[in-house]
Amino acid sequence: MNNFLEMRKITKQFNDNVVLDQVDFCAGKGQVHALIGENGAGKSTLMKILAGLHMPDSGDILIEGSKVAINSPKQAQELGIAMIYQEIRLFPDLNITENVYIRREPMKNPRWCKLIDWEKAYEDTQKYLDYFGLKLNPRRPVNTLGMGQQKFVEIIKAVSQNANIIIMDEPTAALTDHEIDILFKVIGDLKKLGVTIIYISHRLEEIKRIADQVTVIRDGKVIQSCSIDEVDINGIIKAMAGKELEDRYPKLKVKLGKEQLRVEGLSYGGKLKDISFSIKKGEILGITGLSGSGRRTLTKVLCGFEGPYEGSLYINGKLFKSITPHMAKLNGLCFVTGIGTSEGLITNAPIQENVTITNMERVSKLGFIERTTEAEAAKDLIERLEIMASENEIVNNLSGGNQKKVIFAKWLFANAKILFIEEPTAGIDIGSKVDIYNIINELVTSGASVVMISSDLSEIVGMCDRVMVMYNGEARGIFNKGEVSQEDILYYASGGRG
Amino acid sequence: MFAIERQNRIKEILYKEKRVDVFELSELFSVTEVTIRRDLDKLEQEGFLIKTYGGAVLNEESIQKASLPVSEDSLQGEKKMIGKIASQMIETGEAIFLSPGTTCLEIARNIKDRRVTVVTNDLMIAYELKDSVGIKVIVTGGDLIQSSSTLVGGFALQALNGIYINKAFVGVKGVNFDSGYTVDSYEEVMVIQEVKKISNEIIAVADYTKFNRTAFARLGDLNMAKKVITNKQVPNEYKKHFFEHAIKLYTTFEFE
Amino acid sequence: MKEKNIIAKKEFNLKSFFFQWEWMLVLLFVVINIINTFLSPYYLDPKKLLDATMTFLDKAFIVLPMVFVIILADIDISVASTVALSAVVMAVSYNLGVPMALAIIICLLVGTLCGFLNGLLIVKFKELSAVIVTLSTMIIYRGIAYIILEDQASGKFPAWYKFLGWGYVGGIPFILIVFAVFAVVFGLLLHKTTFGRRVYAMGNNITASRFSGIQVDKIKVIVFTLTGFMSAVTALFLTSRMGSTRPNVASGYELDVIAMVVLGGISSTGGKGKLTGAIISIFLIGFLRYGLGLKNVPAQALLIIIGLLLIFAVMIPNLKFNFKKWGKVQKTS
Repeated sequence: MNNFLEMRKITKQFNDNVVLDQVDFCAGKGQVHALIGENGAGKSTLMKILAGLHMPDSGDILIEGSKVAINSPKQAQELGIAMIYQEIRLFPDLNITENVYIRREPMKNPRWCKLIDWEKAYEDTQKYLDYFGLKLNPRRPVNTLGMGQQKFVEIIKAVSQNANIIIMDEPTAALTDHEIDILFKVIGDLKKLGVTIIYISHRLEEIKRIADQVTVIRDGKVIQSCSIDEVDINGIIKAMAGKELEDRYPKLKVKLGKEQLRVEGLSYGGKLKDISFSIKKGEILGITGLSGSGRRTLTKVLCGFEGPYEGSLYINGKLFKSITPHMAKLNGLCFVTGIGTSEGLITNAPIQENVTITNMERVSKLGFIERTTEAEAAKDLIERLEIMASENEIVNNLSGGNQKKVIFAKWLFANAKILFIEEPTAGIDIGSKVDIYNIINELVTSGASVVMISSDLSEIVGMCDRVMVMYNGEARGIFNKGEVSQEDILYYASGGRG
Repeated sequence: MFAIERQNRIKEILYKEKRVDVFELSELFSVTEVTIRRDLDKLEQEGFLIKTYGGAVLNEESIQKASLPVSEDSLQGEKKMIGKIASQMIETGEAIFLSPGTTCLEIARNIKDRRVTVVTNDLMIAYELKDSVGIKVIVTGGDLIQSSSTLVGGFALQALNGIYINKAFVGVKGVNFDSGYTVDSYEEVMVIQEVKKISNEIIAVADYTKFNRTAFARLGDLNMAKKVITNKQVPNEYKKHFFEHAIKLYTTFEFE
Repeated sequence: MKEKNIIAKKEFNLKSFFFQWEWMLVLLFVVINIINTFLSPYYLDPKKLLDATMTFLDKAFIVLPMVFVIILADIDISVASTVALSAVVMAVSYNLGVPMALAIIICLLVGTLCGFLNGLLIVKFKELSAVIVTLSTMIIYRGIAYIILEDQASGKFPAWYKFLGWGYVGGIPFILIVFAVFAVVFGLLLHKTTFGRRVYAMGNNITASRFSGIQVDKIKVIVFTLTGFMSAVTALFLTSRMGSTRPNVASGYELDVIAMVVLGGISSTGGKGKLTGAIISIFLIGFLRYGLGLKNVPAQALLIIIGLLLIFAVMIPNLKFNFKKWGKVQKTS
């Protein structure tokens, strides 16, 4: 076989979780090989193994038919493997050339002088820029470049290291259409140079445009690997989503009340474009989309953490032209953040203090906190939410499920009425997961509205009355329960249109 | 927590542990020791316990008289919540079956203002719904199990013949990985088996104390019902099992 | 689950209670007093010790709000300049014919305004750290003081004003009484009120605090404003004690104050420490200085000792950690 790169039977486990299970992956020289799969399917892990960031538990990597060991990013680099991450990893205050040649600057003779040959560096950088047809001055500081241009600097950096395998993780996520066109031209040029490109993307239309070969990964296994001419987009989506799981979500039908939140034509700094939706009392609205689709930004804007926005926001019929986190809280709007971020909890403080932080006035008189009242309040919520710890336990010592419940507790304590719940069940055990769904049920039963922001599609389909799918800062559609399958959601989330 | 609830809890602990400690109880309920002593005084008058230095021991004679009426009482709140959730699953115009027991009685209490058809083999449930004009109540008839309100036997089975039920709520006495769902008597199982044949959906209802327990007669394995309603205190391994086997597990939380 | 609550409560143990930094400080304080007593026969005289407090308590007023600032993981190095500016404005306005009582109020207002400005700049320009902002205002405030008074002294205050720095009430120095009152107020504010709780929360995790709807900017501004106000209080007592003021007064106070706070066990990474620690360390350093002064030990030697103490204070969390580990090993073996 004329495979330039071959990964054979790669297996990787994190704790007890099998992330990659006997994965085979091959790519030819000068090929653009698209690697696709849902969030958490294992594609990033596979590429991190190739880039030397993770070690596989078993399996071999072959380059040009000979077995290689990749134990560190440095080794990967020496083997000509470069990874371009989704987020830019450049030094913003240095210029293009300095970034391209960082830590391997060309030296003047004699080399022991350690004098950098800047002329050569600038000349070489200029050559690369010319080759790819980019009209940029190699002396230009990176922070004056657009997102797309910064991507090109990363690509030049990779090429200048004589990389012959370049991994691109969602390279078009932050690019404009014009920049994407240039990127594709650059990729075409790279192909001519014989560089193998592994292209991770969710955007199926792009893949159709530039990829030669497609590999679909799901649940740590390769589901499909074939030439791009042999597949259609629907086939890929089917392969990505897998078979529809039987519905296991304890969805409770609740009588809907009056409208609690209405968003009209909301736009924000190019990240959100003309979004409109509304939520009624007792309703669960799901918002989903791939990472970078703007679902999180939307939440942050509505809860006042980012702004100012254009458009109108109505809470219980009252118009808000701008909003702060404090105002949001007073109006019952809250952001139930995910665990594992620093946003949700003060991890070295006890449960009690984490719970009451949102509404200390409730347990204080004249500004003085009443510790016993506070403890009572915390105990009450601990019992109601079945949190397995006492109120003076430090939050850090709790399991993920209990931590998530504490985050719920603190917003219940603040009498939140419209809850934006980010990744409600990510990273928690199944028992707590079932608890969280039932907590959400109880929330809507007792008159709250819930917005679930989740990348777990089966959960979104199972629990939500309506689902809004976002792509590139736009709402691609709002669907009622029962009208939409996981496949449909994936289709719209990958940029498909109705 | 009200004094009566606290006293019931103390009774439960007494049944289980045979003795209680004033200090521990005051910590447990976050009340003063004086309050606990007052509770113990009251329970002593009722004959449940005998006070000792710093605590009390169970009055063994009292158990024979009343075997666990307390726990039934103290679970009323849990059952109420189960009833509330169940009532939300019932839609106007549906025909439902309510099996005998206090949990299903709570369901009945929560649907009094609805317009549904209720089929039951429990006299208490039928009686509970006697004033609800919107509800058509069908009692199966049959043999009354002594000192209960449950109807079983051939007449009951006959009554179920030829009708069709949307949702059957089945109260069970035991839920266990090995023995599956169990109830108190074989006659009851016969009725439920008949109900299974004529129902679109079986929904198992059981408060959390029924888990890891086995009653006399087996109804079926844990896959029998595709929906289960219980309380949040249910053991974690059951939550996991039901989720993994695509059974919708509804648990009660109360925020209001 | 309820049973678990009981266990958690019983877990409170004496060991962890006494292994607090505050107790270390108390111990250190006692040791220093014993050494001082041995070094100088004149040291252990209650009257003289009380008098000694008058010499170092002026800057102690700033220590109180500085504890808040450092718990927020911020810093304010403009306090000494604020002292100078408010003192100078007070002296100049008095000498321009403003009644003394009004001049005092002006002094407090100037300090408060300086602090407010610091806070405002810090929350409005998030890309600037508190060090940079207060470094700038440190230079500016001092500069304004120089412009107002040039390199001169201003004084000739009414006789009653002297009472602030030199007076006694029932044999106890007035300054000590005022300080005690402020200490109690700040102690309550930090440890008992919602405001104090929010300050700790912000110091521990500013993101989570923001996401919990705490008005972080408002609290920051209040804390810096308080610092300015207390700097002005220091200005009042310092000026009273010296009888006159100059634009270069209180120089170096900011470092003394920060040293006392850090020695008091308030972590510069924010969120940790108690006000009592800082108060003990005020007296610790004060008495150390007084005792060594009696023996005519040069001031530079004292600086070395304080420096060493500081390093010790910063090291202690790591030492404590090892101790815990060691304890565990003992238990398992």
